[in-house]
Amino acid sequence: MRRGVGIQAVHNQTQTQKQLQNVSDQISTENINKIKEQLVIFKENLEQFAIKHKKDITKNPEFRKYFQDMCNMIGVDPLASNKGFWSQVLGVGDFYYTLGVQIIEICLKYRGSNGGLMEMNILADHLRKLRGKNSQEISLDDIETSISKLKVLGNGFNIIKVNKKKLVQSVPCELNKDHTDIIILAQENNSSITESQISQKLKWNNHRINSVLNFLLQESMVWIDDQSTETIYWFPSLWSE
Amino acid sequence: MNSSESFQFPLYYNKEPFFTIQPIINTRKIQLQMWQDLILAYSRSNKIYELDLNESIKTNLNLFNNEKINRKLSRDSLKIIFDDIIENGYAEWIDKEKNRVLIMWRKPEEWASLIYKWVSDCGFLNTVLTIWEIQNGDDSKKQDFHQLNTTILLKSLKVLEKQSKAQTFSSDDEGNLGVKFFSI
Repeated sequence: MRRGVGIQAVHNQTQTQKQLQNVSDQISTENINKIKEQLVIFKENLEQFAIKHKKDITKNPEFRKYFQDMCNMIGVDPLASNKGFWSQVLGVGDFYYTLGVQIIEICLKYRGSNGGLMEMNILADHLRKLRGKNSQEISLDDIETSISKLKVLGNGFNIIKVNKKKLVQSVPCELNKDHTDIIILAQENNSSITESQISQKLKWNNHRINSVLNFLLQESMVWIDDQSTETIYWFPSLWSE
Repeated sequence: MNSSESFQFPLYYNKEPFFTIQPIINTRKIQLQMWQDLILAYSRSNKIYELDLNESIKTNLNLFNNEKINRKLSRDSLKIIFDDIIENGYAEWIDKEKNRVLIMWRKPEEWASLIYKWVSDCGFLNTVLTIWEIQNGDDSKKQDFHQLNTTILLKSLKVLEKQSKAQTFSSDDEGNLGVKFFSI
């Protein structure tokens, strides 16, 4: 196309651009509408699914986990509100809030004797005892979901992964990698550890070992036992009962 | 003191560090509370009112010596634990050497109200009973205070005297000491 000169040419050019813009807008709107339509259909289906399987969702912890995952994938959070459609249909909002309160209750009760660290299976046992036989069965995933909801209350609750086990931390202190390394080591070693075991396995110098152990002692996460050839440091939180 | 087979030890009795007094004050507080709970429950289950600490170490009393995990309390640890229990009002030193200890798994105030309830339930108000009858009489056989240690019983009666619910009559022989309970 020959490049036009003069005022008319400029005018023509803007005109063309405007028309192109219009067409593109139109296409975008159509696309968005289509997606919106699809989403509405999907949401309806999901709601119908939820209503249909309400019993399974509330009763079966495994099924609940899958449903929760599916909802998370499309950005729907059935737990986000206590008043929304989801909690009304499923009552899941209440379920996790109640569980959250029970988790806090148990963690506080045992904070003194375990330093605010509790192995998740032990927490689950305590929860089942507290909730009684006739309540809904709970899974470790439920506990994790519940704790993630507790995070809005501040950084008091945290889940530390220690190899295959998970520890629920209910005190707001920062555990760094050195601390968790020792917890992992202790967990593999019958929930106890000595200084020489640490230096042998992790090749740390004495200063580093002492500073980590002292921190854990101060936080009541570790108890000492001096009736052996070497002082043994025990983690009450790792004891299986 | 071999009747302890029936006593159910708590789980923490099988944890090694429980037998080492913890250096960190917060942890120690919890540990001492756990020891108090255990000692009082054990004494209650075995009806122990007096303990000779040196003797209990010498005879390896299982309460302070867990052979299964090869851990035991030292004499110094025992002293720390009982000092704490005494501070909480559940025990008293009997001798100046702080070796023999009086264990009150119920405080005299609690015994006092139990005894007073029993007396009024049995219709003994306004009559005179002897200490011996309270401790060994047929009427008290089913009561927790049957065979109650005399020192603790006298402490409990003192509590009732202070509340004007009883009056003791002195006697040369402790067993013949009389006590009259009043209705209020």
